[in-house]
Amino acid sequence: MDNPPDLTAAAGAADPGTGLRAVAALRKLVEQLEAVQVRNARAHGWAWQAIADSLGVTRQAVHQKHAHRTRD
Amino acid sequence: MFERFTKNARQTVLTALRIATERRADKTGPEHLLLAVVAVDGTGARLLAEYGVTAASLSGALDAATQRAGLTDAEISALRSVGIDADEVFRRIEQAFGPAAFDEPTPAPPRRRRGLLGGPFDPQARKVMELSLREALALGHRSIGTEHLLLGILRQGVSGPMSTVLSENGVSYDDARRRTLARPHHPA
Repeated sequence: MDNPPDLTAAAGAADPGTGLRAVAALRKLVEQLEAVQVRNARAHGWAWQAIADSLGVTRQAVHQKHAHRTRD
Repeated sequence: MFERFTKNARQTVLTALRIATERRADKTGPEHLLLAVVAVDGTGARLLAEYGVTAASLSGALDAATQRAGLTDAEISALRSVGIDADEVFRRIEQAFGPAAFDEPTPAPPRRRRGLLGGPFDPQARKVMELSLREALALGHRSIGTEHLLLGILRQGVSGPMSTVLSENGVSYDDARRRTLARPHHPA
């Protein structure tokens, strides 16, 4: 259970339903992780530009997405 | 409609608004109303207590879901199937940032409609209050109490972790309605 054999994982991912659900779940997880990490960066005094550079997006994009829920 | 609410029901609505604010939610939803029903000492809370549902069990479920970034068991197992151990991710996030790391409001749309049509309640919560009025009328009760709010919530449904707590304890709209009918109605 702790270490499922690779074959099991491969079989699971080969099923379109499972694979697509995994992608959707990953997207959700990414959004949540991004929020946590951006908040932490701001708390450490990072500028929006620096955060944007690290994320590989524009400063406007990251600011528009996160500014309203970051306590400055 | 609010003039027909009992003292406890009004208290519940105010409590729901406070809980939503404390949880930094964008709007007050059915889940905040449910947390309020169980928090206010009224018929609704007593009904829930009969099932063994308490304020602690409901908010505990919410907090547990928060720690998992709101991901369901199905989503976590889907991730495992492509080789991602989400539980390990959550463990590390909690280690670094504490148990409430994911406890943040969902992004709000840039321009929110406020005013008469908007207000502090989301559409589902407004529907709950409409349904609670209907429940009171259907039961022949003259006022809307916390038990009618609870029936409205069960009719409308709550999302995710709290609905699991309800169903695990055998709380359903039909059963709760039956129990409400069996009780004498004492508006307070």
